[in-house]
Amino acid sequence: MRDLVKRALDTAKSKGASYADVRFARFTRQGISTREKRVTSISSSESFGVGIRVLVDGTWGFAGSSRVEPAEIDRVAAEAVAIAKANRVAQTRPVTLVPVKAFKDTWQTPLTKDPFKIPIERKVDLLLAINAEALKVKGAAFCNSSMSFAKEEKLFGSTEGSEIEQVIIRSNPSFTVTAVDRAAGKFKTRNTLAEPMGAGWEYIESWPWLEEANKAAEQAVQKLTAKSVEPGKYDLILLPSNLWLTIHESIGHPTELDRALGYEANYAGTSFLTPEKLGKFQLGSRIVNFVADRTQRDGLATAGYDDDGVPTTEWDLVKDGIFVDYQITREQAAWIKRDRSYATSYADSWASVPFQRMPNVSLRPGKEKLALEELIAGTKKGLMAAGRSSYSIDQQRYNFQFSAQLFWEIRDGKVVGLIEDAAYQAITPEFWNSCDAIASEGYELGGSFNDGKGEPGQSNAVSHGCTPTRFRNINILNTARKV
Amino acid sequence: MSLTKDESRALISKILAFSRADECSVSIEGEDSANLRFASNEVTTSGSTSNIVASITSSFGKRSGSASINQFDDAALERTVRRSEETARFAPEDPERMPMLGEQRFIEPGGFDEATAHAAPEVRALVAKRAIEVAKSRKVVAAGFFTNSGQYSAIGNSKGLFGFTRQSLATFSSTARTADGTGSGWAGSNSESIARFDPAALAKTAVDKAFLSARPRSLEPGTYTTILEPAAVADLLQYMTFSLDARSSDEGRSFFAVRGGGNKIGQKVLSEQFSLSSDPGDPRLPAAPFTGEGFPTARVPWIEQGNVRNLGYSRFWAQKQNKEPVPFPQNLIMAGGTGSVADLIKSTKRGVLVTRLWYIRFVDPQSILLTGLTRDGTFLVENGRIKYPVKNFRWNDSPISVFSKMDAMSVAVRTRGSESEDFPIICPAIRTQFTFSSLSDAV
Repeated sequence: MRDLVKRALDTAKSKGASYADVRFARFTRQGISTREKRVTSISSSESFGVGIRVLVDGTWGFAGSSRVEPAEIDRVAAEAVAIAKANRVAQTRPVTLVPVKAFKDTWQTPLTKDPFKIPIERKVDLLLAINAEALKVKGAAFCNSSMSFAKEEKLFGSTEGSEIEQVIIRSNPSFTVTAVDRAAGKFKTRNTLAEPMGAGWEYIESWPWLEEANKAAEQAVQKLTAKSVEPGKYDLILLPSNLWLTIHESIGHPTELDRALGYEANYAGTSFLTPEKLGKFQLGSRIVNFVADRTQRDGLATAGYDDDGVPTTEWDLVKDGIFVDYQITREQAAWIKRDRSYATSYADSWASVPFQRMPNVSLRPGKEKLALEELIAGTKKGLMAAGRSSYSIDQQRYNFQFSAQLFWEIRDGKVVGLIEDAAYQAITPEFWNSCDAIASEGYELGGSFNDGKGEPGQSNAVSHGCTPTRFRNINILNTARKV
Repeated sequence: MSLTKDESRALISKILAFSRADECSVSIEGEDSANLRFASNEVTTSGSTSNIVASITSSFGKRSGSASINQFDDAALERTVRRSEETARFAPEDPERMPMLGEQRFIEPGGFDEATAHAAPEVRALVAKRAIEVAKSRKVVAAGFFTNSGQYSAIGNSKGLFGFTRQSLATFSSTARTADGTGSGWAGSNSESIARFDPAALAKTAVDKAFLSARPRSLEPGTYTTILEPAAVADLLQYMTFSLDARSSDEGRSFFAVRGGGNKIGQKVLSEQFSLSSDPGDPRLPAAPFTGEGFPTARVPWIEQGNVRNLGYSRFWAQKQNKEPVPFPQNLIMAGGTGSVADLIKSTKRGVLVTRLWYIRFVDPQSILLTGLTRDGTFLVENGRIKYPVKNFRWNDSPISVFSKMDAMSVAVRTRGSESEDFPIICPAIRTQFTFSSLSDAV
């Protein structure tokens, strides 16, 4: 394979590329889905190919193919150069890449049990046991469960001398219980609170599946008759299983430099965090600190190197509530006169062009000792939320609306019961400035297995960690409708 | 890597020859695609890729397993067939497994244009250059995307089924933003043929809308008479379509479920003006002639004059309920009226005009309540004219309510929604009542 790396790079250079990189990659996936007592699908997929990226006179070109053989690699390298040359007519500012050392290295997701080596029967048995446990609860009518596993094996080489091999593995377990009241014509669902992780089968084994399936079924049934929320202002305690997605949407995406400078304007949108706000803008209260980190254990975006060949790192995005930095790739660094990349380049396939993707972005735990119980005790009229549910945010990341798998009402410092039909809606800076307490304990990672961005769309996996956190005086909507 | 019908048949036969299963099916999906992005008035990334994937499903009795591969040497193919067989042997028996289909007859929808499937890099570069020139000449900043592709799809199995289809697609969209950042306009479309749409005209529409939407004023959130342009209607249609499933309705977990049991086929749920069908043979938006398991697709009326005519039935659920299978729609055709969006504006005393919707998500599947935002051109209409641009809104509403309260519509056109993207949809702009729940400063 190393001969082919050299061949691809040499061909690109001989055709006129000033820079080239090549990724040979095999993407393997396995998925198992069930409902009630039956397995609805077991599938595995394998996609192997090569992608070659070049710069000619400061213009990008890229081509990829699933036929990994010498003659095709020559064709693909030449095609990438031809595309770059054709595109020069529409480029006025040449692309420049900040320097990076050449690395010859290997890296792999630290795990103890490779999920691809676990027999399918064990996976099927666990999923069917989850369904059976959930369906023991009276009123629970259906249970769907699934697991999927992803493996990326990548060999990166560049004309700057890097040769980096990586194996990245991710696991994504899930279930949904549905309770139906046919007489009333109502149904409610409750999804697992387990999250996808950049980890192996040991993570699946660590989760109390049967206990949660039983509880989830009971809660789905309770949701059928839970009180409908009175809309208005509430203090809001968000547990990590809910807050991670709010972090992802309201902090993760707007701190992407390409969005801030208009490079995603035609699809995902831009960002309210424009460069003149760097170092000045009070994005959150003084206790709010966000860190970006692609080295975090179990993180879905964790890797040794990014797809530009830059070693991964961690850095602050928000410090003491002030917006202090962006997510930056080699190409983007020059846009704001920086001299280094934070290793945030990623391509979701050998056939995809690498571009800026989100690292794991997490809220640092509170510095002063504080437990969830104290957050609850200090809340007079509030709601507490767990689990991801409906989510939507505008194209500049101001106005968002999130729901949850579970909302509990808090009255006079005590949790009084489940409540239904709630969603919280806020404007990002107002929301984070209303944050008055962040627990020092109870840190958990949540994450998205398939975060979309770019055209053509690419999928990225990313985690977000946090502890239970409280926000004061948040707008709560009632989402029940009769149509 | 183009695939002809004969090449596909030969490849499927070769894979089937490796099979030791009771039944084996093979689906081949190939794509040659190329794209170009531009932003900040410059080309950014661009590339071309070629890939073919073979997905193999093996069954022993009621046990099945699937595996896919994109390498086609004999060893890789045999290894993948074995992997699907091993998976099938480990799978529990599926009481709902249906036997594979035998030979079928499929329509030939057409929709393939060689010039679109394999356009040269210079064609894409020129499209971007022209769009950027339109933006620069008016001192706005443009970002956009152009892609062209050829897709090849074949299916075959050990019971003699074989089908082949190919389609081309070109897609263009552009967003223009005014230099002061207060205005944003968008336009986009797609077609099986590059020759059939005009990226320069779309780029100009985006620029015009950017100026028209600049310096928006706040309008109090609430329920307004609202004109939804076709791109907005397309997204609402697609979200409603997700619920057009007989089984989840019969199981009591869908809007189309009936209290006490059963589903809403035969019931009137929407305005009499509303009719929705799908038809893979419609030359305006050709779609796949078969499903993933090789079941032939055909015209299906889903809702006629507000009455539910059909819900999707899988082969298993159809057999269980003593019905005919009804595959899910491969495209969507909503009947339109006469006149244009401009005519709808002219006949509106006071209302809001929405260019398109954004970031749509389910809030409550029971009522198909959705939330999302408006984007790239939202306006107040008064006395038959656009009075001024208004700030974007977050909205919470259900397509059931939107399509129940509609009172006028334009002609139906091929469009591209922000969520439905390249799913082929023809629909009109409509005038209805729509609920905006809060303001957004996003441009």
